[in-house]
This record gives sequence, C-alpha cells and structure tokens, in this order.
Amino acid sequence: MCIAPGEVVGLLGPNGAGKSTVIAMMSGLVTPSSGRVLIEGYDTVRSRRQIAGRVGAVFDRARTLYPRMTARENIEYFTALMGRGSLRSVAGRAAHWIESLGICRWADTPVNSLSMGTRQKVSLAAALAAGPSVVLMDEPTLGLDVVSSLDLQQLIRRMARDRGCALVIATHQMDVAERVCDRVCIMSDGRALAIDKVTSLLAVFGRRSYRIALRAPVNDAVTTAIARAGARASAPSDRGAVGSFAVDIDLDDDAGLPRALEAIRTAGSEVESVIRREPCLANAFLEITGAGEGRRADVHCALA
Amino acid sequence: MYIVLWHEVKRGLLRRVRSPFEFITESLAVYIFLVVAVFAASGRVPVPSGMTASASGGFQGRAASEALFAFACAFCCLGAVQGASLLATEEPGSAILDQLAMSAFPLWVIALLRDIASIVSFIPSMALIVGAVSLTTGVACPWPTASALAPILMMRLGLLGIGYALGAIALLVKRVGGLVNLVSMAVFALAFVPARQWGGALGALGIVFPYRWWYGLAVDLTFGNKEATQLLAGGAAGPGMALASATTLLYLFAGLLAFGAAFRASLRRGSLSRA
Repeated sequence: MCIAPGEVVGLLGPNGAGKSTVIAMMSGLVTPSSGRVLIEGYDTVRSRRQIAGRVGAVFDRARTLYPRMTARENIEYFTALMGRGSLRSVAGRAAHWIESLGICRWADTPVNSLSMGTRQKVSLAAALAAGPSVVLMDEPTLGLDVVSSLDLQQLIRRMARDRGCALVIATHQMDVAERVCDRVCIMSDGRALAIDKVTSLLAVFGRRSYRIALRAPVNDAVTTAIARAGARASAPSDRGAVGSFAVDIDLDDDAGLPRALEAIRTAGSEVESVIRREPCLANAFLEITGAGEGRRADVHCALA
Repeated sequence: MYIVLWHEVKRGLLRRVRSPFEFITESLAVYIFLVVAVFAASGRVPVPSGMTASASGGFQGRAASEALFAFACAFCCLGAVQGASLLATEEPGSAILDQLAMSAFPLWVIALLRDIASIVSFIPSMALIVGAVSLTTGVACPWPTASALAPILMMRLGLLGIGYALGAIALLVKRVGGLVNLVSMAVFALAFVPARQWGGALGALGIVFPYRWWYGLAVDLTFGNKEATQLLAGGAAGPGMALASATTLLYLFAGLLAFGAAFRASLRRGSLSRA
C-alpha cells in the first residue's frame, strides 16, 4: 500500500482489527513481524533517527500531552524533541501552528484545563510543528462533541490540501472516514480486506436502499412478497421512531424497485411513500467484514 | 541537544512552580529526614525547644556534619536511581512515552538529559534545605570542595547505570515501583554508616553499589582528611581509584546496554506505553 502526499487514508475495522497496531508500526513504535514500512524511503525500524520529524502522531484523547504544561510549552517541547531548528525557530514554529489552528486563546493555558476538542488541536499542532510529511492519527475524533469533531475533520482536510501532508487515520467512525478520507483500508483480524477509494467502495458495496412506508403495519405476507421479488427486507434501525408501518429494503439494482412495490401491492398492502437512502460506508463496511449478514438476520428476527 | 536540555530544565522548574504544594511537601519531608539524621548522628533525641546538636560524636562516632553531608549525597544520587524508570513508566495510560520514542533522540539520551536537568534544579533546592537544617540544628554542612565534585559525579554516574537497569526492567514489566524503592533504601542504608566503617552486609552492599569508594573519597576530601589528600597527591590511591572507576563505568555501560535491549524488546512486543 502506497500513500501519496496530500492523500488522506482511513483505516477502518472493528475493535481488535489491528488499526492501532498499523499506526504504531508506521510510527516505528512496533516492529512488524513481517514486511516493512518506508517513510520517504526510510525504514521505520532501521532508520529511526531519519524518520523522526518526518512522522507526526496524534492519539485519541490527546494522550501525548503533558497535562500540567501549557499548550505552547507542549508544542515547543515536542518540536524540540524532533531535533528541528534552534530555540528561536522552535518557538516560531509553535507560534505559527497555534495561530494556524486557531488556538491562540488557549495557548498559555495548562492542557488539563482545556476542552477535549482544543486538546486534540494542540496535539495536532505539536505533531505538525516539526514539519512532518506523514501525520498518523489514532481515533482523532473519539470523545469529541459534534462541533469539535466536524472542526477537526475540516482541519484534517485542510492539512492534506494546503500542506501536502499524507494523513493516515485509524477510526471506527464511518461518517468521519466517509467525509475525510480519499481512500480507506477495511481491516479485520489483522488483515486488509479492501483498499480503495471511498466512492469505489460505495459503488460496489453500498447497496441501493429504500425506506417504504405503508398504510398498514408490516406483516409476514409483505416481507415474504418482498423477498420473492428479489429484495432484502429489514426493520428500520430507528423503528421506535417510525413505528411498524415502515420497512427498509436493499436492492442489487434500481430496476428491482418496481418489482418490490408490485409485490407489496399483491400482498394486499398499500404504499404511502418511498424514500431513497443513499449508499453509505457503514453498509459497505458491514458487507466487506461479513458483519452485515448477521446483523440482517437479527433484524429479520425482530421483524418476524 | 542543548535545546532539549533547556526545555527539560524549564519543564522541571515549571512543574515545581505549578505544583508548589507538592514541592513544599517534598522539601519538608527531606528537611525532616535530615534534621532527624543530624540528631541521630549527634546522639541526641530531638526536642522542640532549646536544643542544639553537638558538632561531633554520637551515632557510629560520626560527626553530625558528616551525616548531613552523607544524606545530601544520598539525595543527590536518588534522582539517578529513579530517573530512567520514571521515564519508562511516565504518565501511565498516556502515550507520552510513545511520543518520546518517536523523537530524534534515543530514549537513553532523553533520560540522561533529564538527569542533568534534575541536577540543575536539585542543587538550589537542596542548598536551601541544607541551609535550613544548619540553621535549625546548629550543625554546619560544608560545601563539597572542588576536588570532591569528581567523586560525587562518579557516584552519580554509577548509580545512573543502576537507574538504566531499573528503567530496562520498567520498560518490560512496567510495575517496578517496589524495586526502585528498595534500591533507593539501599542508598540511604549506605549513607547511614560512615564510609570507613562499612563491613559485613553493608560492606557487601558497598561493593555491589558503585558508591562506596567514591563516597568515602568525597567525605575525606570535603572534611579535609589529610591522609586521603596525601594519598591522592602521591598517586597511592591509584589501584582503588582504578577499580572504582572500572566498576562505575561497567555499571553505566551495562545499564545502558540493558536499557537499549529492553527498548528494542518492547518495540518487538508492542508494549512500549502499555500500562
């Protein structure tokens, strides 16, 4: 797997898939049992000194910061550790990134008094101040509120676009990966199951889904008819909100929709509305990891 | 590298400024310990008022000022024993150790820089504490002479080797607080007895620790033992000094090797910052 400058790659997978281990191997913190990782041609195991400063890392919940030091002190300290520049240039780099990431207000506040979102920005500034060409992020949006999470996602895209950094993000938040990543690697049990552009994965695995609202509760006759028409029916995940009058169907192609609607009418039920649900990475992920089948079986049981 | 050293010194000083309560309680604990040691050395039981310690005699026939000097040396060496293991177990649950391991400097260099930084912040605070003890007890503690600084440095280097070995264990098994405390207590046990009187178990401990010879020399030089000064001037201390130097360097390099090997092993195991 090669990652180009300016590209954002997401590592997706269930817990224990090996996402964080891959991040640790790329940072030189875990020696690979086989294979190797090259950063700008330098082996992460054999050329540790050369990769220092070329790789920046951001971990979940900003765990790389000294809590009693201020944001500025943390950024300066970790930049100095990368062996880049003089005392003055280290301070200059820190000031530049404090301004770029919009954390001037909190620059001289101890990190333990900052919100999680601001801490994560400080963590990102500390990683970027040494001028890395690769930034590794392990669950960067974990524990952030919606606004902070979206803010950080915008920052990530900006870093890739403006600075040409290659970014690798390990996450199990599909919406984050879908918004931020150019490519994703879907992992399970330490293996890469699929590596492709998000749009390509959605085209292949993202099924065409519709939500059909009926005038009467969904019954066995309706679900059987839908299945006979070649579609897969499932109860809506938000069933509590929509009630028992709606059914979600997955189709292999759009031509299956008229057949499914006809089957519902034949089963004696009347259709009130049809809403197309856009394909999402979460569905593709479930398909690729094989978790989708089990999930659908559970939903079928609930529906029955 | 000097930039990192500057930041380490700054970090150490800031920690004290930002946590004054922690700094005061630590200093107070050292102060109480030293006052008790001085009273014990002078053969007097401390009482709250109207008490001054005699300048000589008492515990193990040692001068109270020598006891004060001995414990100041012990506190000076304590940082060397604890430094690398504190680094290896830094901020449990955090990924700071990961971040340090990704730096341009090997972990042992960072530990060494932190040790130097800790000496910088140790000297003024220890001088204040010893001054306060002298004022309270009436026992003066002489500043080590310029010639005594070399044995004190060697003492610290040897114990730094032990510190690296403890750091190596900490990298692999993480929970080494008890072991570090045990080694620290051994340093204090050695400081309890005048260097000239080490024998039996303490003598054996003195051999195991690269401490005994240097400590004895530092005491002799600081307190103006003519015999020691003459021995050094005549070069008669050669064999003893050579053996002590070899032991010190052996400890230091063995510690460094162990630390490096443990670091590589923890990378292979993927357990570097695992709590």
